Amino acid sequence: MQAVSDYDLIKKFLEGNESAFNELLKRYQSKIYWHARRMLGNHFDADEITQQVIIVLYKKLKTFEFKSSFYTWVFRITHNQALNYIKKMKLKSFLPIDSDSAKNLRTNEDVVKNTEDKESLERLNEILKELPVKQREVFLLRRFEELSYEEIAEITGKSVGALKANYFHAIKKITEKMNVE
Amino acid sequence: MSSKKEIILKYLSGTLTREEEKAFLNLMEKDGELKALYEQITAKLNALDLLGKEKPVDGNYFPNLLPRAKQKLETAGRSKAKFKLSPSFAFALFSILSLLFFSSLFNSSFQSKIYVEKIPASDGLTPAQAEMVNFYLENQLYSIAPIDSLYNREINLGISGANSSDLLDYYETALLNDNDLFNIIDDNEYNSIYTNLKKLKLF
Repeated sequence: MQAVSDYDLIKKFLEGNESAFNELLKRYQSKIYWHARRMLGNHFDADEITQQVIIVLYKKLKTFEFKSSFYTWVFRITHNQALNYIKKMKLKSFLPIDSDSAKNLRTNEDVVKNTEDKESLERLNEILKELPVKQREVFLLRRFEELSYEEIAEITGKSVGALKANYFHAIKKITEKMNVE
Repeated sequence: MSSKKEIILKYLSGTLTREEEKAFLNLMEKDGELKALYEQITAKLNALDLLGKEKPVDGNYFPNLLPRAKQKLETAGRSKAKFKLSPSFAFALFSILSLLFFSSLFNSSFQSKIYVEKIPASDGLTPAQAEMVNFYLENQLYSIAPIDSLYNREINLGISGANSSDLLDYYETALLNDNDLFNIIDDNEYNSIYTNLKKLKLF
């Protein structure tokens, strides 16, 4: 049996079928979460972004124009939410409003339970945190989501040339960090 | 960074032209060192992919995401609703704000009136200037007269010009407000202020 397409599910949801949204979310929630997690480097912040993206999707799905793929639309929302969140975090880091309990939550709470998996993610974060946000984003979308530059350009609104340059600098820094000479 | 590494990274990032790509692949077949470095770099990047691969998570996490997001949405909606003004409260607030606005307008007109009336309108003015000042006075057009906007700045300049430096200091350090200032300065100082205003061609 052929699976129902994203477009059909969106249409059903817009006709009032709530379970269509659940189905749609099941397809993408893991991708949203893992992209956010790789961008932010911890579960706490990734969870915040994922929930925010779900809320935006729920509220804005009626504005979806069936021109682009739903996949890139979801990533565009995730991209915007992550960037806004990072901006807020940067602001918070300058102001004494980030409570200790929030910091503890950021480091302690995790849905990944396996120690080895946690260590892998920490190692990845150690390497990626050196990258500027734009470079990190294009690197993640290319390596982990296996998106083309054209698709990434659609998500980020940047030119393909700029994205290639970002990716070049990202892998240059990463290989330096990983001691490849 | 070595030139070999740079060309590998350019190849991997897709910044080489088609011709350059072909040349690079040909070169790699001949240059063992280049090939070894290429393999080392791709192996490191592949290892990084493994580090960031999706991991198994707590079984309740994803099924609970949507209910949690919906709850968050409802909570946000409720807190928005909390701040919604009831019509009667909005009306009361509007009335108070209107009252405050009109009283401030009256005060400002009143102050302008004092200021304008204390200036000897006919003294040393050209007929056109006198006519303008009289027009404002007679028609009580204090609010549209070019007095209010100039009031604070020009009164300062006027006092400076009249060498009333003590008064100016008090005024600038906010020990005196505009009304106090008017009550303190005498007619001669008003004349000085007025002279300075004339110099500034405000009248």
